[in-house]
Amino acid sequence: MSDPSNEPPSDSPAAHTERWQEAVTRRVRALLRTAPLHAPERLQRLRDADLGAVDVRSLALRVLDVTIEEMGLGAGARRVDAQRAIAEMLAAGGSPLSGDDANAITDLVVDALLNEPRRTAFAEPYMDWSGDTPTLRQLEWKLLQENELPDGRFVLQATTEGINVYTGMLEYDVRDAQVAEEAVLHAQVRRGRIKDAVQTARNARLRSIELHEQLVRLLKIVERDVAQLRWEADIGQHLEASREHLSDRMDAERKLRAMVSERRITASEADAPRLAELEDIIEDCLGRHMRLQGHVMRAVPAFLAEQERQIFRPRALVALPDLEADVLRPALSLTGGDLSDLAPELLRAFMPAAAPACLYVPQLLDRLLAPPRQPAEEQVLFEDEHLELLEDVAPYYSAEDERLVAELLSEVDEHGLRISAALERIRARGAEPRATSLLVLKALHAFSPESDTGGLETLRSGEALHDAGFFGDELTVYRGTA
Amino acid sequence: MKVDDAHDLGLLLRFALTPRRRPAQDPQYHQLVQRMQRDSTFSDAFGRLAEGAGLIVLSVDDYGVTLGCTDDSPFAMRLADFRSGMSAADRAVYGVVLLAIAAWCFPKGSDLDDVSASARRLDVVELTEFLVELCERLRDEHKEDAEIVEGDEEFREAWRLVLEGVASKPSASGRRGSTTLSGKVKHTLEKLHDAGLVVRDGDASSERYRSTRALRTQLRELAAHGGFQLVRNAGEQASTQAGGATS
Repeated sequence: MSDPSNEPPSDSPAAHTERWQEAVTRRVRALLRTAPLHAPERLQRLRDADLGAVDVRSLALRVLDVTIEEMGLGAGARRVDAQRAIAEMLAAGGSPLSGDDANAITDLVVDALLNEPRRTAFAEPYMDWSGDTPTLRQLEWKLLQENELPDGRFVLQATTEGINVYTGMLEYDVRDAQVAEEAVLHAQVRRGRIKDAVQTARNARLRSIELHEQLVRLLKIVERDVAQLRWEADIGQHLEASREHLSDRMDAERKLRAMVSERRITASEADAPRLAELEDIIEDCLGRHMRLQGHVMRAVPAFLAEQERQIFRPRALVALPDLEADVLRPALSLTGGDLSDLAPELLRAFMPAAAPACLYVPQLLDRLLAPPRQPAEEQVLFEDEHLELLEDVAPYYSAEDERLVAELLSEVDEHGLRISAALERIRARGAEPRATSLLVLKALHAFSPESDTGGLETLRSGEALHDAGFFGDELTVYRGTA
Repeated sequence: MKVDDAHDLGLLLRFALTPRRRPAQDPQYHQLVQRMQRDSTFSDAFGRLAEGAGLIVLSVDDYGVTLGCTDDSPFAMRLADFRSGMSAADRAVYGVVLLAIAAWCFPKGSDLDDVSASARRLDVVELTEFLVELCERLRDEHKEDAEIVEGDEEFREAWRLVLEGVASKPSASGRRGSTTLSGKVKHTLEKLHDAGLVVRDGDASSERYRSTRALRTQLRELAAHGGFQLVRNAGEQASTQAGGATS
């Protein structure tokens, strides 16, 4: 392989003389993609936040920075990662804003980068000069996305454009940018400009993250819908180019790693830690590219398998409707009666299948026997009502019932008494059916660990109760030792 | 297929019918999803089982199995499960709120088809404002029809019913009552949360949510076309009836 520092990348914009029409079009597109970084300050909610001297553009770039860094380590950044970084940044700037304020500001900045209020990609019109005649076109792009992971967590992920905006390499193909950065890195290490080389290596790492994202996105499209891709034009060419590119990168990275290791032997005290960091970054890129090559190698059989699997899947013959223009707005013009009639069908279409709720007796019993819930914190003031005294109502359980049950329960010791035996015993003493039901209620009351039962406790024995008057679980009442 | 496979098919159906259950958090579910992706006989058998039960397999991936309902499915949510004791006007407004949530998250058809589409943030206040703004625009377009307002609610357009909901006052406790539009938006989002289509940011009192992948799947595979057809058919039927009445 030739020394990458001696020759410009063959496909890079610098390698051939670019017509002004292409150059202007490319640059205007690059310029437009930075617009959202200026826009946050124009957002009403950010203006209302009274940020004083805080530079919102820096905050937005820092959010991108944290997100790309976390993408290098895993799936992406959590909101809390961005909040922490913004809080540190505000504190470093001497801002008097509190932690809650920092979180609120982070949310506003993240929402601005997601273009959340508008709910679509950023879009700007521009003049394309590169064709035969100038044509007005619309550029659509995204900087940040908030995606759900299979385990249910949500993370922020930078798009290819987001990574490019951050690294200042807009409108360059990721592969070209990677080759260019490697060439610079090679020259810097060779000339002993280690401090600069560390910075270039950090950019190279971002580039490898970008390439990873690009390829993973392609593989996701394969999973989602093979029909969107043409083997020859899209997948085949792209994967072959990626495979070659990765192979070249790994060669170059191995050479760079060897060069850095060699330099470490004779490095000055100032350069030694920088060279160590440089070696780590190169190692990280090499590892990522090796894993990526594995993905690419597996992509071809994955594509063929998906093609076979999806060929049997019924496809909608018409394009998906615009939900706002084609569905919501016409629905608002329907009469209440017509729309009300549609409600059951709309509900069926919108809600996923779920097992219908039904009454499950054991669960109901468990809930009834569970300890009482904590009362709600909200305090409700009751007004005193004027109450009238009704004539005395005789209690349901007689004094004799109470006495018989109390006497029987006083005989319960730490070895326990089964409820079936207790029922037999109380009946033998001439108790009315009322007294037997009181006995059962007392036993159930003792089931709750929080009840004041005078030391009585109840446990399920795991067997069924065989009794003429009651059915359910066989319980054992015993007196606790505490 | 072996007899034991029947057990696995039943288990997978059970997992799929449990909202918010994830293969990533359940090794057994994960294994069954992998088997669905690898074993076409097993996958076909599950499809047939689902079909017989009135279910449609919408997607099978690392996020789990998403099932939709056929017309007569016993697994479909009934109106009474959504909210009991609704009037005709309530049903109409809740229908609008469901459509508004879908349109808020995915305004264009291409948004639904975008594999890299971001999760969407939903906020009770913002969604209510969005809906009110649309209805106010329709009110401005229909200024000359103002006298129709006094008619039976069954014959009033849905946008008028929505705007009437905005005028309802919140309950004395300051909570969003079911009579207010924002109360209805909150209730609908809570139902979507229970079904795993959105997740709530924060505790039960929070009014901010995020759409899940399951919502996009449900809309893309079933509700977008279904909702479009239902609304279009109802509109055409209304036009035909109006034409018949005037001729």
